Amino acid sequence: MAGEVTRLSAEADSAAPAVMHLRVNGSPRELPAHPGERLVDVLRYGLGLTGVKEGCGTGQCGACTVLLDGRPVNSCLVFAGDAVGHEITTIEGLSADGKLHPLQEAFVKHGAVQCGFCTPGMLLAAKALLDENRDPTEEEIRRGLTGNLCRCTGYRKIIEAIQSVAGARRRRGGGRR
Amino acid sequence: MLLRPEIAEPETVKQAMALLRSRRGAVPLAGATDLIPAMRRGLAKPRLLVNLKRIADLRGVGRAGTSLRIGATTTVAELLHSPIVKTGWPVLAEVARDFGSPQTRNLATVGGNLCNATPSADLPLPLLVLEARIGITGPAGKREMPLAEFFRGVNKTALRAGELVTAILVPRPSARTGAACAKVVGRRAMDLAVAAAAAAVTLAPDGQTCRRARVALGAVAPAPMRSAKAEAMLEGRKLTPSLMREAAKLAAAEARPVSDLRATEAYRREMTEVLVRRVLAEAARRAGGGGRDGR
Amino acid sequence: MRYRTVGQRVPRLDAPERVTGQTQFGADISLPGLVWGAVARSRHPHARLRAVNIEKALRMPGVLAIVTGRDFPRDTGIPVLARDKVRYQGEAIAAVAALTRDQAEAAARVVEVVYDLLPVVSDVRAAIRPGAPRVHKDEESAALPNACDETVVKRGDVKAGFAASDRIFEDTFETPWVHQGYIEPHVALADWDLVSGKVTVWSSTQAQFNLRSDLAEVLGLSMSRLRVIGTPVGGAFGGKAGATLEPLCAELSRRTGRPVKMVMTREEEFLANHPCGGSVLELKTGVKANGELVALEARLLFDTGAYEGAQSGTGAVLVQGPYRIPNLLVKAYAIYTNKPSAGARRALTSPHVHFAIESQLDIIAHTLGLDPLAIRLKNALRKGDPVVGDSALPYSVAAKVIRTAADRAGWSHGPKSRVSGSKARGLGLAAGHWTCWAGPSSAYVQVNEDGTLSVMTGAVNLTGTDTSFAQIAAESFGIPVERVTVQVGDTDTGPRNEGSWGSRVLFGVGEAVRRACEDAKRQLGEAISGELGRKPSEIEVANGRVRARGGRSLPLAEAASRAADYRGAIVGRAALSELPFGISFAAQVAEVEVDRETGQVEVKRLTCAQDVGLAINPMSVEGQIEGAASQGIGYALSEEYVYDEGRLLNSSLMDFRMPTALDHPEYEVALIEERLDGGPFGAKGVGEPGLVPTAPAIANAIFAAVGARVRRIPITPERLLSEMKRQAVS
Repeated sequence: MAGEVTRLSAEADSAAPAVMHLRVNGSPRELPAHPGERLVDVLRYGLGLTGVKEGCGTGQCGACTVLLDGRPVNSCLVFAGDAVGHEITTIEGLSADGKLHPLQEAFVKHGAVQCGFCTPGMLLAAKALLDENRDPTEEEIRRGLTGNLCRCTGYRKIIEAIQSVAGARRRRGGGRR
Repeated sequence: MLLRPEIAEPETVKQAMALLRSRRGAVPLAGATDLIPAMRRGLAKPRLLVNLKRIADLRGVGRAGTSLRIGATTTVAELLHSPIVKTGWPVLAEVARDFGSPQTRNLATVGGNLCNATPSADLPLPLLVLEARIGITGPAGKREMPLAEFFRGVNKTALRAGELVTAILVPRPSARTGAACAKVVGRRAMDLAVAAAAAAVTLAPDGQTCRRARVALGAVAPAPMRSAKAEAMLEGRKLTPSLMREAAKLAAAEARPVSDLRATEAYRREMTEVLVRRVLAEAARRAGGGGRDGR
Repeated sequence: MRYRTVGQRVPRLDAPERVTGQTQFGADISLPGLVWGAVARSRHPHARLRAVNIEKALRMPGVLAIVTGRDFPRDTGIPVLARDKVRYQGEAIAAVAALTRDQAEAAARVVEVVYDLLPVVSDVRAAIRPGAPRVHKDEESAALPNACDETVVKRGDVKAGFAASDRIFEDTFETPWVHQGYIEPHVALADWDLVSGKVTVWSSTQAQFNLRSDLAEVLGLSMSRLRVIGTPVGGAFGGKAGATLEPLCAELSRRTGRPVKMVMTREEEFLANHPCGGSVLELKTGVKANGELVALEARLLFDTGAYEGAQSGTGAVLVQGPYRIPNLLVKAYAIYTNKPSAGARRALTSPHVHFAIESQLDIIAHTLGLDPLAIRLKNALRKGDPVVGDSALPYSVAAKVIRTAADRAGWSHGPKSRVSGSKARGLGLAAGHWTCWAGPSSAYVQVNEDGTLSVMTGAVNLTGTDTSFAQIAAESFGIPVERVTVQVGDTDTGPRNEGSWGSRVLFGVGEAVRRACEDAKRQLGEAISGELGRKPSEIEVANGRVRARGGRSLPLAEAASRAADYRGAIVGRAALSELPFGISFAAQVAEVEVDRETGQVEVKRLTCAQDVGLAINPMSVEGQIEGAASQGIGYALSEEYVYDEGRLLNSSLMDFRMPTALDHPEYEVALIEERLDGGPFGAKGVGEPGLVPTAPAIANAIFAAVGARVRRIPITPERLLSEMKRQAVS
């Protein structure tokens, strides 16, 4: 029967969630959210930051990686309440004023992007890696990416892209972040 | 069942304990790396999460006298990057480096890893051979015990209702002590060990006789365990390759592995022998280098 | 021939939006009034459904509608929701729509199902035993119990071949069930407009038009009432080819009057999408003492799981490997078991059968005292040799591919073992082949009034082929690639295309794009011929200009503007259904290091050679090869579904272990470019062949390192150590 709707139940949460204050990509953001929600859901569905992906929900694939105070975490394993008071960086915050971050440019230039689903998480992990270790060896780069699964590229061009950015910084004598 | 538990944010251990007592279904919250997936699947249904991460007393790596003090909510990343750990207890940094991924290292806590008490957990082994003690606080007051007494079975610890782990204390290794860890895994990161071992040996001034030996095994028993037989064989004797081989055999015999989707019991037992032999040799080499679990 | 844009390492045109996270994958789409769906799935691998009770679930908070098997009387061979029987653990039984995702999942968990358990058909060997329980009573072929299909490939006379052989080798090989491993879980949305009757479906499908066709049948709709929009795909590798969530979303949308979205959990992906089935492959091969292959008799059992999915034909024609074998008798079967409905995976069952033949060839070489490289070169297919059954290979390139891989890997040192302490190193070589075909392909190219081009296909941009299309179009007109845009239309707006799979998109659709450009150029010539005072046949478009031979020329922009005025629009189009037959060859050399006490294997280097016809975009082609080989490494060493009587023990990414960044080797990639007639500028499909030789190359390298031959992948440390000990004893 067309249009048959079996039953509309009452909303599960009777009380509207309180306002949560987060700092995301350098800006204060306010939204109704429950501290017990997962950070990945608050970012994606509460703030519309769909650059944060979900690939597994168990902290294995790294597609949901965001930076908390500059350190990479799986946002699928973080309660939103735990992110209050910290600086959250998502992929949307990596480029500034329409200008790509050097890592983003390098990924484009070196062919390190295929389907692109792992890419936001991978870029943030790469950024955190280079911020902590200015001149990583190839093994250190690989270690820095163990939390980000990529099924498309075999990692070769991803590593080359990261090496090119590290190399360019080295030649510039350190460089900015 | 719905993924929206209440979260309380105590600032002191006392407040945390009161909250844990306040309600049935109140559980401590540290890294959440196991909790959230379990909640998603409907397997864990906590009513109240008592967030321990804002309690200053539980955070961070520091010293307590000459001992290393690891606050319960210290993340594995903090352990890995701590200069104190790197210089004084470097085997801990090595194990931390091979733990999970950069992301999970920033979330998982030392206390959480110990309290989860999975048979293949990484951190217990070096802590066991370094003779760590675990500090606990609860309604009946504070207590401390050797870490070796803390693990009671699969996901079972000595914690009583309402108790919290506050810190792990690792004594300063004596002179001429070396420690090493190793594990067998199916891929080089993000895998559970099918067998793991750690050893710490302290040499006598002659540089050859083993004054003290500690051997710990992981993933081959319901809980991380020490191999008393291997330790007894080694202590007081010169550490030759053949002695270490014998000790490794004893350790393998003492293990109680099971077969599961990752490996059979037989393979795990055999790997225990290989790993104990290797970590003993490496620990002895490091001890001979004159360090205190140094290089 | 030198080209301007074709052959360039053009960065993927849509990469900037992907690196900024702007690409809207299916799960990122939001629609007004959107509600969520979740699926209740079978807990048992084989059972009759005595009852499915949704009363309790209907009363759960937020629930709007629930559908069960009786709500889907039509299907395309695989039930949308199980009706009277479930045939695999995880099979969909009911689907719930609710206001939030958590509510939908919670309600799905309380759908009550009463099962009458049936005996489980756990694997292909159990399935073909006489008296085995039947997964499908009525549908099997008579050949073997639980056989879904049968393929027989015959050539020459194997009896005579064996009689003429100096040695005969019999080996059985096994490959596991694996998930394709894409990072984006499958997602679908549907919006059934109850007023207009039009249904819009978004899906991470590889195949919009095939999906539309399936949905039209299942939902009883005409195609014009159904619009399928392929969303950007976060990896597929064959696993996003069937209608799984889409019919459920559509029907729930019809019942609720709201758009419905469903995203598979990772666990559901493992249990209930379309993973790649395992196989048991029995090969009997006769050779001469000098290594010449004489005869091959094989029985191949491909596990297709609960429903038709894996087919026996592909493996049957490819098991001969890239070699000349005059006498062949292959009997191949797809066998039903109580496992998920098997789906396609990169290169279908070519990786399976090449693991077998390439391992066996090394066994033969070792036994006869021959160099594995030499035996392959001796037997490598040449122009005119029979391949894929009866076809004649149009060119000789196999030997060159094999030799290139070996040379680049330093094979002159041979596969000898190098031992150092507890570690041993070795080199292993393997080769493979894969088909190159076009299938229904079409494209439009509109010449805009300013001389830029808009290319439209209906081909989901799975692997960056859009960038290659831009290069092809740019090359055709002689303009910079920046002046070309490429769009993928949906089933309402784009021209029909067979799915984006089978390494056919660059080959088939790329050729359609090229032909559409030629058509557009013809139209341009016709439109401008009066102005240039020449017959259309004397007008050519090249280098960004429209030129009358021996006469005037106009810049493309100007010509385009005038032509558009004159003719209304310049829209070139092309459609084709087939192109000349082709085969792609790949060869790889793996260098491994084995820990002799634990059996752990590390791949240190992987040297890959592949014949690609012509690399339209070498950077993209390398990326395909590196990615394909990456999946081969997991296939060889760590990936497998572990079952216990039809129950999957490892339905998570922690327990189904794909190689991490640390598990990958250094890659070296060599592209062999010998143009294939028919493909755009001589290009061939490139996405799949790179997966074909990887596992046997690694298995062969392990043998070189430690002298142990494991005939079953993945070669886990325990399996290898076991084999090493067995060999030491014997």
